[in-house]
Amino acid sequence: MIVDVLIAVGVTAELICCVGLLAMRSAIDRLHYAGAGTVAAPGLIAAAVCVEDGVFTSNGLNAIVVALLLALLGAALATATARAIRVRERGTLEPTATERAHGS
Amino acid sequence: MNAWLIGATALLAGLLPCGWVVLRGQLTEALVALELASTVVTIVLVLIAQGFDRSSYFTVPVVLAALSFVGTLVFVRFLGDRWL
Repeated sequence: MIVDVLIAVGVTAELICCVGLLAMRSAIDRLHYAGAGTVAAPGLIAAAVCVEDGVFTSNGLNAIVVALLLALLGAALATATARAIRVRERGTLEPTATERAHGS
Repeated sequence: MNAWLIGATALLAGLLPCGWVVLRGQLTEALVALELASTVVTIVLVLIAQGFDRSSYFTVPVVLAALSFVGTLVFVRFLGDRWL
């Protein structure tokens, strides 16, 4: 029962991220949903695998490794992507005069 | 058919919005959609491996999680340097 709930919540969370990706208008806004998709759903699915098979089993450890890889590498990738988008759109990572004036 | 395989099948629907953005969006938006699509496929493979109860199948999502990061990072580098 707990496993089914974890699977349902994990799949739903990932689908919400996919719909959010479609609904947003700018690349940075879409990136937030892509970043959320690498953290929430893999963790829930790994938790479901661990609840069913146990943590210190082949399946459980593999699921944890996948969730950790996605979370850590996904965060690094989101940061690198955001920097590339910023450089591509504004030409620099430094804040513009308008951004300095507004404190952002 | 168990809950794992049902979840994997349902999650495949998440590739449709990603594919739409890849086809219709700008280059930066397509790259972001590619990132999310690779995450979705990785989770689907985990669900399939558990659904068939084959621990050897878990090798595929582990390798994909690492390789999709490297592959997307190459696109990010090209994008930032305006080679694309």
